[in-house]
Amino acid sequence: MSTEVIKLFLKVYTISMGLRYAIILSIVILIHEILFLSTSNIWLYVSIIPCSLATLVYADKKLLRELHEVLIICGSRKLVLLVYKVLYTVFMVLSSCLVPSTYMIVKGYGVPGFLLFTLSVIVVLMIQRFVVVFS
Amino acid sequence: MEPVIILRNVWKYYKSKHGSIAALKGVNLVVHRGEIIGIQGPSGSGKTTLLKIIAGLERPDIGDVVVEGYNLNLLDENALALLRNTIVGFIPQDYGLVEELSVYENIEIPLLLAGMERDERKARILELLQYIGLEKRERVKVKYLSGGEKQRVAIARALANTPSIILADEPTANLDWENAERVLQLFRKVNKDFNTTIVIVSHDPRVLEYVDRRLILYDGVLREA
Repeated sequence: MSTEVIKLFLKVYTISMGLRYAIILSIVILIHEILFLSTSNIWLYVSIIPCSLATLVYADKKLLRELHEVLIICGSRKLVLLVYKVLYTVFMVLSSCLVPSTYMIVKGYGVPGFLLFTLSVIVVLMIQRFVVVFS
Repeated sequence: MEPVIILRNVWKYYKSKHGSIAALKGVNLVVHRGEIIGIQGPSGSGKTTLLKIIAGLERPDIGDVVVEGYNLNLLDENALALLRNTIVGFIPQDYGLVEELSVYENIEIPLLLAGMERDERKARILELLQYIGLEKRERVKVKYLSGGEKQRVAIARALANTPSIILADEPTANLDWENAERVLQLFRKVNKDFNTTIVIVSHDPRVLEYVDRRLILYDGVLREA
C-alpha cells in the first residue's frame, strides 16, 4: 500500500516541482556561465544561494498538498501519511539544494558546495518546521 | 428506521483574534439509513464544520458523534481513517481531486488505501466509471474536465469502497443549474441503487428539492426546516 502511495507521490512531485526547478536552475546556471565565468567566485555564490531559496519559494507545492488532503479524506492511515511527510521533506530538501550544490562541486568548489548543501538542509528544515509546509 | 448518524449536543469552537467562536452550538441530529437530508445555511453558519465532524476529519469540543454505531470520540486517528475509507465517503466543496492525475488514478486512491489488488481495482474503477457515465474519460487528467464531470468523479471516488454514508459539501456550488441537476439526480440514483445515506449541505435552496428532509443551520444552531 505504501509503495503505491510512494509511486503516486513521485508522479505528482515530478509533475508539480521537477519542471519548475529545472527551469529556474537552467536560467541561473546559464546566466552564471555566460556572464560570470571568468570573474570572481563571488558571482557563483551570488547566483547559487538565491537559486536554492528561489526554488524553494517558487516551487508549486499545491499539487503535493492536494494529494496530502486527498489521502486524508480517503482514509489514509497515520503511517502512510507519515511516509508521505517524510518523502515531502526529503524531496523538498533535495530539490532546493542538491542540484545547485552539485553544480558547485562539478565546477570544482567541493567544500563550498558541501557547505551550501548542509546549510540549505538546515534552512529548509527550519522553514518547513516553522512556516507552512504541514500546516 | 435505523439511525446511522447521531449527533448529541455537539459544540465546536474555533480560536480567533477576538477569542473563542462557537461554530456549532449544541447540534442534535439523527439521520436514518437510506435518507437523503439537506442542510441549508448561509456561508459561515457551520455547515462544513458539521460535515467534517461527521466524517471524523475534526473532533467536537463537546458532545457525541455516533456513525454506524461507532462513537467517534472513542476512536483513534487510524480508526477514523478506516471509517473514512470504508464507511463514509466525503466530497469536499472543491471536489478534492488531484488535478494533475487522471480520472482513473483519482478514483483509485481510496482503493489503494484499502489494499485492493490491481485487477480488482481496475474492475471496480471501470464499474464506477460506467456508473457515472465517464467510461470514455478514464485516462483524461482531471484538470481538463468540466465542473460537472469533476463532481461526478468526486462522487465515484466517494463511492469506491461502497460506503453506507456520503457527505457532500456544497456539491452544486461551482456548477450551472443544468449540471447541478445531473449531479443531484446522480445522488438520488446512488441513494436508490445502494440505499446510501446522503447528507448534502448547501446554501442553494434549489438543492433541497432533491432531498427527503430539510434542515437549517444558522449561526451554529441546527433546526428542522
